Amino acid sequence: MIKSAGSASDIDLVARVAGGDKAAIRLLFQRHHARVFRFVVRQTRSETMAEDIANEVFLELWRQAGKFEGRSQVSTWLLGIARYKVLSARRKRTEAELDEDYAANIADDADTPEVQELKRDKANGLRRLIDKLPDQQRMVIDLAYYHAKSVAEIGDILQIPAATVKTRMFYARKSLGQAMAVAGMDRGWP
Amino acid sequence: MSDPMEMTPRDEIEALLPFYLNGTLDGAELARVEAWLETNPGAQSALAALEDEYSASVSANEAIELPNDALGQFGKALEAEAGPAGGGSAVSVLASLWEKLMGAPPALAWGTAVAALALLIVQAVLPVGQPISSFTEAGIETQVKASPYVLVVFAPGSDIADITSLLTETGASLGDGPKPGGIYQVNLPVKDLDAYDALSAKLAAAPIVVQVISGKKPIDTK
Repeated sequence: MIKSAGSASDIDLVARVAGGDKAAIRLLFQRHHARVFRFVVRQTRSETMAEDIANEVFLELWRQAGKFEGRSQVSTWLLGIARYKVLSARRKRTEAELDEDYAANIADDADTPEVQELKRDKANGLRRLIDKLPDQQRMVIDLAYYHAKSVAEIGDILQIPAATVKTRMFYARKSLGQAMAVAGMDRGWP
Repeated sequence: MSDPMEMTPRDEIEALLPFYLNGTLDGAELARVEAWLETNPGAQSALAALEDEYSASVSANEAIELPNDALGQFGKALEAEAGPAGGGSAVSVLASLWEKLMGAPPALAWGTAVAALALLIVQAVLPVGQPISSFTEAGIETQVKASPYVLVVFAPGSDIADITSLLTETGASLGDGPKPGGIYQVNLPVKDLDAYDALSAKLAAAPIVVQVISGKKPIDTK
């Protein structure tokens, strides 16, 4: 891979942040803010809330840089902090506002709006189905595909066992496959 | 707390396939998935389903617009937390620009089967330290934020002149790369799915292209 003379690894930059290097944390922000922000938006459905939480994630990095041991990727660590911040923010909200499960079930046998969309436009329909997955399943889908995280890394971020990561992935993909089948697109599974 | 349920062997494979796709599977699980893909008649449709899900997840995430002046806002928060500006070593403007070029698009680390076909073209062909292409800062943000793209694996030994010629002929441009596995993001100047599919097929038919993987597709407004 091409590297410029001035590039530094994430771990190098975290070490510099631990020494009070603001330029280093700004560079880490430029590298990782987009993914952290989008990860939070996908959970909170609020870009305003995500802006605040994303800033808090990097401020937490500023405070905790000296404690980072380098056993995970910096990106994994940041997403783990983001997940913690989202859960903390949710606990501060009233019971009436809480709705962690944005969709109970997507298509089983019914010709729902999501299935109808799938018939018209597979790409957008599938995107809409993923959006409608329960929060726990959608996060595993996004962390695997968009964030390219391993089973172990997803377990670290979400603080769940590896077996649970695979189970949630199974349920998510099964839901998507069933909806595709109802729309007449048989993928051979489930 | 683990979920108490039983998965069939096929179910277990389907749960692992996304991690095969992103290149993070290893050891016994990787061997198991590879063996299944080699021998199972459902492998092709399973991989096609993965590609669809990957595209949908990526496009859903990339559709989320980033806040304006996020770095500026964070800078203010940092000053409030840490005190007045200053301190630490300076990061060169060139390094900062380079990191913006490499920062935004998601990485895809493909499985070992594809990785075995890829070559780090940069090592073989491009002069060390030469940027893949030139962008203004504004051009980087616009291109990274909006453009449909595919992921391309070029044939071993592909000359930069041949790659440039192909891109010129198709109107495409290199957006990022090489990522792990020698994969390049190629941005496509298309506005609808038909054009996207046609240009993807044209790239795939080129002699210097080993594989084209769907990435971000345009939203079909028909």
